[in-house]
Amino acid sequence: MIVNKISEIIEQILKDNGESLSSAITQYTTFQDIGLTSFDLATLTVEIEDEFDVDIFEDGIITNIGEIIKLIEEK
Amino acid sequence: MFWIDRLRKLEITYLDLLNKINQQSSNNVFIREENPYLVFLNILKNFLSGQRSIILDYDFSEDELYKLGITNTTIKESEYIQEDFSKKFHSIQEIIFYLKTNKKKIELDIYTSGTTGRPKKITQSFENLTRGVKEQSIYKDNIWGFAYNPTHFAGLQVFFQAFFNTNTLVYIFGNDFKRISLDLKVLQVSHLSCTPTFFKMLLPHVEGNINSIVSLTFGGEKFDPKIEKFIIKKFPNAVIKNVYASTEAGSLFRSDGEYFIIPEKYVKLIKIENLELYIHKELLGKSKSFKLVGQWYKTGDIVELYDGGKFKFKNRKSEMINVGGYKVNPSEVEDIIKTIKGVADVIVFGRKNSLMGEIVVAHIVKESSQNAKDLKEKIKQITSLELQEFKVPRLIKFVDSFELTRTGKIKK
Repeated sequence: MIVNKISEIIEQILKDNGESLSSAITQYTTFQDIGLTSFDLATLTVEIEDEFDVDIFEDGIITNIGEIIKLIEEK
Repeated sequence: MFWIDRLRKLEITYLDLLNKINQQSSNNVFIREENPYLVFLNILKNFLSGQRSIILDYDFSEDELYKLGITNTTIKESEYIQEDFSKKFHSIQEIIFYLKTNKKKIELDIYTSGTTGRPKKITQSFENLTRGVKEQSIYKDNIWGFAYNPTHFAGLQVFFQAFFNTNTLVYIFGNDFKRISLDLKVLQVSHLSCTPTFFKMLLPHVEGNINSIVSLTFGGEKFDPKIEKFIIKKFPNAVIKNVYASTEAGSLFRSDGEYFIIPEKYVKLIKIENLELYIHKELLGKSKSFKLVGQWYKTGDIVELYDGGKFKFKNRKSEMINVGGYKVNPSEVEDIIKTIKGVADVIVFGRKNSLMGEIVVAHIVKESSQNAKDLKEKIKQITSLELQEFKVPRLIKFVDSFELTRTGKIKK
């Protein structure tokens, strides 16, 4: 499932920072809920691009996991 | 009001500032402060004492400082006692007048990546620092959202623009973006100057719109025209400007939207040759690191030309990586990683992304005996300790060999 893969990517990004997810990710989870910095978001962008061939910030600003899933499904 | 910093619970009036400046104190020409208010207070105290200011990023590691030739002893030996100025300066306006009268004599050293990536010293005169400052009575009620690192050129520019007009500065760099959005509204900030990356991070947290902002100025990175529609919606009264500035040359010109034009006063001092921007040495600060071609400094900024002398910035010629406006020299990062046991070889380059422009990526050839997972953690740990945050590789990949150079050609 897409959300599981996204969750895995985010968990690794947080782990690299010495942090972890405090709760499970859903489509309603925002980047702010997770506490992602601008560097983390940039890393997430390229990891998602490598995995799904989608640039999530290409067309503007997104703020939550649901918007990422939508972009991936639309591709 | 002079300074508001919600994170540090600071509210400082211009009278508070005057009293602090006038107070006899032990100062240091080296300024390395975590609190940005203290960065500016100490710059002012040094200038008024006839001393230069040497500004250091607070997050420079001891190793990075050592490479710059700066030790704890160097810093200790640069302390001096500032006299009581209370009979000399009776108002902030007197201080501003003094600074303007002595602008050619005052200098400031910035140790920062600038255009080169590897920290180098660049000396700017106060005259150069304040070249772009505009003072007019219509600016007197401006309230600035301060969204730059205070030790970087853009931050100094915003500071002096606000200070010379005795405006309020609201320090928001490093704050939570939800909080920043609220503060911009509640404090009725009128002017926001920041990098496009900062702005893209802020936008999702802006609920409704912020009508108070009448000026949005972007610098440090190429402007992303895709965010313009979001700006119009959330900041309906804002005029957008882009600034071209560098640590080497200071603030040179502004654009409306994406298009720049060389101002009349600089037509003999700025030129475009083979689509690259050149700046005459007369406009530069002082540095041993400048490599000139005759009288000209090659910026490495490549442009696209349009009718009527207009141009847009396209990309950078050099191998510098631009991470949200901060320049990274890949060789500096490679040098650190090469020292790590288990790394056989490394190449560092920028990976494009729509949010920050680029992020730093490292491809590693590891020694066969090394566990990849352990080595990756070690590389992350050591680079985080030795380098400023924006230089730390965000993606680390292990490869058997290198196929491409960082510019996409076969590595020799």
